[in-house]
Amino acid sequence: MLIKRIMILFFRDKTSVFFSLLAVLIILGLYIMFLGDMMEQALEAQLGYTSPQINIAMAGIIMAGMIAVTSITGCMGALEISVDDKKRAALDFLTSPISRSKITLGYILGSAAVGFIMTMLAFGTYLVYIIARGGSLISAVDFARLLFTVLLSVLCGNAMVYFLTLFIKTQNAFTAASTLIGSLIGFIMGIYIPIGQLPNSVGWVIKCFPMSHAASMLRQILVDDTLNELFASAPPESLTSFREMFGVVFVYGDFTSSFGFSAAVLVFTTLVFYVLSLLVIRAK
Amino acid sequence: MIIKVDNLSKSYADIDAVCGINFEVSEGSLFSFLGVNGAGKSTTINILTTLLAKSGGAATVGGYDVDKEGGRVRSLIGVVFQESVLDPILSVRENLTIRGSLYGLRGAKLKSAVDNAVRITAIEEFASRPYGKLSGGQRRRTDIARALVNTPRLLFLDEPTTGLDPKTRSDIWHMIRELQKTSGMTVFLTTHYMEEAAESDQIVVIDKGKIKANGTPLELKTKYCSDLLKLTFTNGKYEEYKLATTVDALPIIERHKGDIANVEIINGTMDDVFLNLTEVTTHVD
Repeated sequence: MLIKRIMILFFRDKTSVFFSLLAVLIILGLYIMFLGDMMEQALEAQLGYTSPQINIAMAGIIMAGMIAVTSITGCMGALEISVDDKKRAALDFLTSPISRSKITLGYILGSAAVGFIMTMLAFGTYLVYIIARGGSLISAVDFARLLFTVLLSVLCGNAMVYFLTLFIKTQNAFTAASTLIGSLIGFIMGIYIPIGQLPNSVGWVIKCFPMSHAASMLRQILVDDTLNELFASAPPESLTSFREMFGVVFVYGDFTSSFGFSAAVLVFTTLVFYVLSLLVIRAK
Repeated sequence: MIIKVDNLSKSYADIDAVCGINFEVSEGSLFSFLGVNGAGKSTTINILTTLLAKSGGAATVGGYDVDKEGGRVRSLIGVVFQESVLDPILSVRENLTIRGSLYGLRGAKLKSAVDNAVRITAIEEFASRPYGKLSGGQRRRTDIARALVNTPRLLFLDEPTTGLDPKTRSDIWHMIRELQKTSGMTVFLTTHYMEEAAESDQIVVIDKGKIKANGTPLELKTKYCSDLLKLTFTNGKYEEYKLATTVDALPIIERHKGDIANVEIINGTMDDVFLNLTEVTTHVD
């Protein structure tokens, strides 16, 4: 019932839905207006020919980032309710016989459910765009991989944001924090500017930010097939360097991240932040 | 005794909010807890409702220790907070259903608990409207319905009528009184309105963390305030006499029988009791 409460409170409040989607709208706007063209030209130059597939691939690369970002902003919008509750509803919950761990679980699962729905909505936006541009639907296997990735990504984003909310007491502070996160997240996850075009140090920031791995996994699901077709006649090194440049994979020295590695990073981060949250709650 | 408080104290870093208070509340009674803001009322309520841990002494609700058996205490009580704790964008019925689920109620049981609370507080008329769109009085009724959803044995009301217009205030007050009489539920309330306190079974006055008085309204009036006899004489002279009891007026009137133009006896009120017991100068908001 507490999970349902979070979902109703979130979806009935049109402003919170809008602000959770703001990062998505910004990325989408930037892409349509100029990011897309810029990146397509870069790919065209590398390939030496043009193809409608280029547009599809680039849309996938950017919108994979957009989908990953939503798993954070969606959870953030719903977790705002938990901060808001500290002044009001929490008193009511704490004088009721329901256990405190169930209250906490209500917030985590409720906001994760919201995050999942919002993220799938962002994926829906991608699908509509791709199909409108003459692309094809993803296969059932890829869809299963996508659901798996979205789930991990939402839980990871949720764990991180939930941890943050434990230290925020007022709604104003939360709004400030979420504005800051909302504007920085696109950079930290390497969405606005491809990781390969950034200085090495900034690239490391992106590679070390766990949520970037969600974007990388989504890129592998959404664009690897298209990239393989596009680069079919090109030397293999050019595909490798392209995937590195656009954050389809991350390269740490001699090690290149794989789908499984990135999934492990997300799971690990999720566990770390939930355990940290538990410790903070215990300490209080 | 549904509440037993024994030498209860609570201190924060640099202040003692409650310093060793004792009182008991008997089952089924209407109990008023009076004190100026900052006297220690809220601290005491927060300890009894398990929101705050005590620093010393003992406190039990329904026989359960408020610190060690908080869960048991919480299932016995209903709390109407001074400020609203319900969700403004949810309807009254949605609010009650969600909060009812906090007591482990599900399905048909939950629905009948909500229906019952709606019926008792007579809020059917606006039960499907969002809580945030209701008037002050309607909200208060809904808050009370929320507190009744688990049919508590003990209902805490923290200034239930503050901020309401006089008509609404009296309606809410009568509803509380009626509830307490018909259900046999114990009602523990804090209030600023002395005429409300005067109707309760027992009053405790707290000031600066200490209990100043404890008794029935009549006992307190007898002890802490006096009646006033005002005499106006035929020659225009006017005199006032402080009376220990009302009948003390009789010999005085008898003595001046021939010269009196007008007699007025003012009964001491709970306001006087309150003002005599608490230093008004310490009043801070």
